[in-house]
Parts: sequence; structure tokens; C-alpha cells
Amino acid sequence: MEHLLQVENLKVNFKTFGGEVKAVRGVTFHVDKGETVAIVGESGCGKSVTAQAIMGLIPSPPGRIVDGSIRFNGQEITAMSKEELHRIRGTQIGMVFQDPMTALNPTMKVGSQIAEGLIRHRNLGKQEAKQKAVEMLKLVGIPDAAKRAEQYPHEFSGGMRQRVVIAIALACSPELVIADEPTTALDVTVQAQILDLMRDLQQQNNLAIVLITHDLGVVAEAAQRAVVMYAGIVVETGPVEEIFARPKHPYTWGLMKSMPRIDGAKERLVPIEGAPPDLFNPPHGCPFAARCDYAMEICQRQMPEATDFADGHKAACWLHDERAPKIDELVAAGRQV
Amino acid sequence: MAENLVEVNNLKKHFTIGDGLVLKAVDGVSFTIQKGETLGLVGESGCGKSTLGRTLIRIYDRNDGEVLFKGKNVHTLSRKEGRQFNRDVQMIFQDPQASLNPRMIVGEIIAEGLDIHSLYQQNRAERVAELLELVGLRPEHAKRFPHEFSGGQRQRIGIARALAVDPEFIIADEPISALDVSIQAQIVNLLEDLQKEKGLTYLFIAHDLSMVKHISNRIGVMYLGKIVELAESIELYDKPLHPYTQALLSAIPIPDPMVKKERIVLRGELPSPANLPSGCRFQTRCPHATEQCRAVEPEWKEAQPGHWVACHLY
Repeated sequence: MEHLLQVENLKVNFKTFGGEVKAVRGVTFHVDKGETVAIVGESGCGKSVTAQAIMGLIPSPPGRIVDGSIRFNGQEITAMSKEELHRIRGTQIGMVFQDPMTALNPTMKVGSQIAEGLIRHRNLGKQEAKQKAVEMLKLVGIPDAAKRAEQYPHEFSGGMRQRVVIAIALACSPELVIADEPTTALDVTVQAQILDLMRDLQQQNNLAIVLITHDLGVVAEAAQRAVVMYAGIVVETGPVEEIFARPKHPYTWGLMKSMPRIDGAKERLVPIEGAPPDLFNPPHGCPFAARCDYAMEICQRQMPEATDFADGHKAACWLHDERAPKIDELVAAGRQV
Repeated sequence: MAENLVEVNNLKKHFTIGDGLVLKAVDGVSFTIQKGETLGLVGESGCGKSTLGRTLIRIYDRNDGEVLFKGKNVHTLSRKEGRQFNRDVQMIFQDPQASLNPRMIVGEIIAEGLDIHSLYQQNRAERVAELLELVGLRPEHAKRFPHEFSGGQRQRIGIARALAVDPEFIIADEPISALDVSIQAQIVNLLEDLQKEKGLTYLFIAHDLSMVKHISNRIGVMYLGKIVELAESIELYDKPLHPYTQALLSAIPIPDPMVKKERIVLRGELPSPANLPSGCRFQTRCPHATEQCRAVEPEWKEAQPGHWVACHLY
């Protein structure tokens, strides 16, 4: 079966004064109809650039897709013209951004911002589009929708603005929504409301969602599958239950150990020491080797291949090579756990 | 009974925002901070937690009430006492980029307080080197500019600057919110180590409840300018009394897909602190609100030993 979205060996570079940054260095994953796939990672790991590439929004120059393919509904996004991209973004792929204030036009009434896409892509008349905009506001849980449609973004709270952004993204009934840190700028009680809303809308419309986040809590709550990125590559991917129950990559272990659990006892946190590598000159081997407690000689020299576990759970780590020593042997030899 | 380092009584900080409106950012809060403890302060945007921190350290004057530091009212100190207070109390800010002067080298940033207070003037360079090592940086970093450092390293510089003048009390306003998860843990561990080593007292202001629970001995929860609940951190998380605290805790996503929990979703929106609801401030969104809540503001009372709450349910 063909996937709704298939990203294959995607590589994106950005030209800067300091040289060329290799922001995304061979990313592969897919998204099926109706599921939520989370892309997790820290600042600079390439998760937002990956999302921009899917939407055809890599600013060029300085950015360019160097290699790889992005197939959406059987169409190759990397080969599309500007007009085709415009159409696809309006009708088939919706977008939700981190900061709802900058995503909205401050000089335009909220209702008109929702209607804009409907008029352009769905050939609705002005009145019809306006009506539909009010319906969309109701759908995303904004009370008093008819009156609110006539207001400007500054008259809305942060959570309500994000609801408006979601209404715009869903107005033309897309099949895929890319949500880049949609709840990061919101308070936790508002975040809970927005995550619930996204889940409801997804179920009603059989939407596929690519959820970009740095928050493992949000991943566990909202996604079915996850893609863990580090320094421009995918280090681990698989069903969320598998990744949380049996994580396979030392970076994923590190992320989990460095977060305090609200429902757990107080223990000293275990940070990942050091910092991510410089992507002007990415290391030849595994990019995590310099910070990894289990690094072996091979890790510095050669990038590991992905090892397959059950249910599409994959991790790119030399520890899972059959020639590698078992983890308990490394611990016995004096490595930190 | 441990010694109270800070005592806050009915503190109020109001801002006039034009049109005759008064924004009641901090509207009558009372609590104490004991020597050597970490008091966490949580709440959502606009609840007044940062204003409270800034009023404690005298960035803002108060409108009413008092803040006692070592028994002295900090807003009526003499010039000389004020200088000593400025040494004893230091602040760490959220954004390590914005809080470091981009045109000063790190060594000068850290030594600025030393010069103002005429401290360590004989061995100034050694003092800077010692502070840099204390926060996990290297002495040669003193010659570099802030932009040459990563976010986590910049936050370490901010901590070194705060520690330079040997303070007793540190107000940390969202010190880790701008950092990545793996770096947050580094900074929190550093703050904990420094506290042990130097016997520091912290007021830790944040919106990330998991991290606040981890670092704090006691936690206060703020809503619309008031502290609505205050208790030992484990007690607060195990037996939250105030309906707002309960909702706040239930909203935190837990990084474990196997845990399915009941979530209390709050109705409606946060009222404006310039136009507060009558009675209890939380009544417009509270699932348990009654007539009494709409009419009478609940008192701040000790519901159980050491567990304070402002709610008519108790």
C-alpha cells in the first residue's frame, strides 16, 4: 500500500557566511491516512526544516534540497512548480505554526482570514465563504462564532488564536496537517485543550498529522508513531508504545532520563553531557558518539545502519550490530549507565 | 523550626494601565521562605509570578504589604542597607541571550558586581576564573563574548554572575524554559549542587510543573495575582486541594503512552487581571463554584499542617 506521505533520504543544506550547514542529512519516514506521527528532537536537529521541506517552504536561497524525495499522494513535492505547491498547501496540506500571533494577519478580521483560502481554492462566493468561516470557528470551539469572526487577532487570547490557526488549516479539508510545535507557546491547561481539539478533529476527518515537538509528554499523549531526530538524522523511529517501553537508541535513553517525571519519585536528573555537533562539518560517524556513554571505536568512524526490531521499530546504533558487545558487557567494563 | 529568610505579608503590586484601569498583577500574597530551602512558584502566563519575583528584589516598588528579608522591610532600607541587600539577593533570568550584554566580554560581565561592591579587587581575575569553573566553564572563556556560547553555556554565565557577590538568596525566573531538555537537566543539577555547597536559598519561578516539583521543597501555585495553594512539593502533587491546582496537574502530559489519566479540562478563559471576578478569582472556571464563591473571597488558611489553601471547600 502506498503511504499518504513518504519522505525518502531527504537532505537539506543552507548556505551561510560561515559555510554550508547540513541541516537535514538523509531523513526517511512515512505517514499514513488518519495517524499522527511525531517528529521529536532538540533545537537544531532538523525537525522544523523537515516540515518546511514537506510543505515546499524551504527558503531558497539560502536553502536547497540536495537529495531525496517527498511523495505526497503519489505526487513528488520536490519537483513541483511554485503554483502547484501553492495549490497543494491550500487544499491538501494544512499548516499550524508555533506562534499563533505571527501566523495570523494582525490587520485582517479573523473570519476573512479563514474565508481567504475557501474563496481561492474552493471557489466559494464571498458570502458562502464567510458562512463557512463561522462554521469553522464553531468547529474549533470558539463561542459566539458569528461575532468573533468580525474581530481581529489581538482581541483573542493565545489559545483562541491557535484555534483560529487550526480553523484556517482545516477550512479546505486537507488530508494532512503539519503542526510545528503547535502547543509550545501555550500554557499547560490551554495545551491540553488544543491537543484534545486536534484529536477530535482528526477522528472526525480521518486526518493525518505530522506533529513536530520537543516535548516527550506531548508525543506520548498525541502520537501513534514517533521519529526521533538528532543532528539532522533519524536515530530511532517506531510505534510510540515501543519507543517508550523499549527505547533502543542511547540518545532516546538520554532524553528520557534527563526529564523529571511528575508522577515519579525525586531522583537526581541524568543530563546528556556536552552539546550537539556542529552541522557545518558533521562528524563522519554517529553524530551522537561524542556524548554517548556507550560509544565504541566504530561509532566515531562510520555511520550505523538502521536495525529493524518489531513493528517497524528501528534504531540507527552500532550497539545493535551483531558484532557489538552486549550493553551489560560495556557496563561491566566500567561504562556509565 | 527553621529560620525565615524571607517573609512576605499581604504584598500587592498594581499597575495603572490607562483608562482608569488598574491591573492587579500581585494582589495580596503572603508566604515565607526558609533559609536553605527552594520555594517553587508556578502558574500560567499572566498570573503575576514574575511580577512577584521582581517586587521581592525591589525592581518594582510595592503598592501595599511588606517584604521582610532577614527581618527588615526591603522597600524602606537605607542606602547602605540597600547596597547590602543588592549583594545578598541576586536574580537569574529566563533568556540568557537577552540578559547578557552582547558588547561585554564574559569576564567583565561576571566582574561587574565585584567592582560595584568593591569585592575581590586584589584577586579579581582569579575570582572570575574560580566562578567560571564553579559553573562548569573554563577560565579562558572569560575573554569571549556571549554570542560565542550556546544557550546552556550562557545560562551558566548568568549563574556565575549571580554568584559573584556571594549572595544568600537567588530568585530564578524561568531559568531553564529557554533551554533544550537535555540541557535543562544540566542546569538544574548545577543549581542543586551550588545550593548544597553554598547553603543558598532559592525562589524558583517556572511554568514547567515537573521541573518545579523536582527542584522545590515547597511549592506555591498562583492564579490571577494570588497564591491559591502552598504546600510541601510531594504533598501538593499527591493531594492537591485547590480545584485550580488539580486542573493544572491533570493537564501535564506524562511521557508514558501506557498511562491513561482523567483530565480536568477548564472551562472558559482566564479573566483579565484588570477586571477581576467577584468573590473567588477562580469561580468563573471552577467546577465546584457555589453562590458563596461568587460572593465572598475565600480566606488564606492552613487546611492541614503546612498545607495552605484559599478555597471555600476547605
